[in-house]
Amino acid sequence: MKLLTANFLSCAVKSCKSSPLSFPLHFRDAELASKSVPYNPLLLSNLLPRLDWTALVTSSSELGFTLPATKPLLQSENIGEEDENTLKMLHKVLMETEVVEGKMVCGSCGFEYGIHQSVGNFLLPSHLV
Amino acid sequence: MAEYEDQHVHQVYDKIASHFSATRYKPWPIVHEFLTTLAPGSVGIDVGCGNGKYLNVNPNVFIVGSDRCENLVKIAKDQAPTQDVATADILSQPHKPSSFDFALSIAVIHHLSSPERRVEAISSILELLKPAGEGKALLYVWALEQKNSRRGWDENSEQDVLVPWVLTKQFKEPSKKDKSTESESKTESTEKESEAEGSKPFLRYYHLYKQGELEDNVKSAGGNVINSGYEKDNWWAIVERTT
Repeated sequence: MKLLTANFLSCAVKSCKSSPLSFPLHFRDAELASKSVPYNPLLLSNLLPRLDWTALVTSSSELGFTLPATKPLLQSENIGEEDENTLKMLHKVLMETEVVEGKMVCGSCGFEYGIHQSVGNFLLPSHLV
Repeated sequence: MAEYEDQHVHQVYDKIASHFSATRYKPWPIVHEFLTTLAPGSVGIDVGCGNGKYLNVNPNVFIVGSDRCENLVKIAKDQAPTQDVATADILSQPHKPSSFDFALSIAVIHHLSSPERRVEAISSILELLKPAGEGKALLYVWALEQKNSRRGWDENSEQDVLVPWVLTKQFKEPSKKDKSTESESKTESTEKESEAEGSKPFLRYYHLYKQGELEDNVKSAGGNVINSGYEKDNWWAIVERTT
């Protein structure tokens, strides 16, 4: 699971949907791998406004990365050198960092979702559906 | 209902995953157009993504695909290195409400086994979309009206059916590669079920949609139909929230 994906996941339990504690889910016992994928500045620069930066900083710190406290702003329409560095950093962190094994825990109900072979399992036991 | 679907949908896909996946690689035109006209940076979900054949259509959007079937999700993960996947249920999705620019659900809603559950599936997708004007979903279901298909169903046929899937030789468990049969049983561009003797069919539950029924379900789910139509044995609709 990519670090980027954590920005779009929350607890699957219905009663947690209204709780701010159910997002982001918290990584535990994460084993990381770096997986090379093609760099796509068009995607990244347009993804940036859609990111919940506070949640991303939280997720990153749980995985041992330190991101800037505030969301970086791109300087211009035409991507300059400084923007290029920002986008390359985002590419490495968001797209190439994979959580291969571990857990994601809901801050509201405490349910633990397993991540195995880079895939998170969000199927709930029947008593939580 | 959930147990019935577990037996007649989930368990079947888990068993037929690799064969099913080998028959599913060509994007349907309406789906292709929906995906390629999205703005760069759009973030979406593919609910019931199967083997992930739609995840790579537009490299400038980010999609989290999910499926109930873990074996298909694993195939999707390997096929789409720039996208991501999760194992999840359409009725309990691990996402925040109002957070996506788009959603896809292709050939999924027809696997839910009551009208209430199908409407619930659609509302569970709608609630994850951004408000009307910002978020939209493409839904696709199998049509009852497919007189000219191999199945030959028409508007008078039974709507709730069990459809067999027969594994061709090379996809049977245990997966022994038998070189001599590989060429003759190679899967063609459309789904092919061999009628080989001794093959045990897996039965999948489907609700076949009548004309207008998908739109009715969307309205019951509190959604608005932007556009809808029929494409090659399927009904489709592009929908948004009403709020």
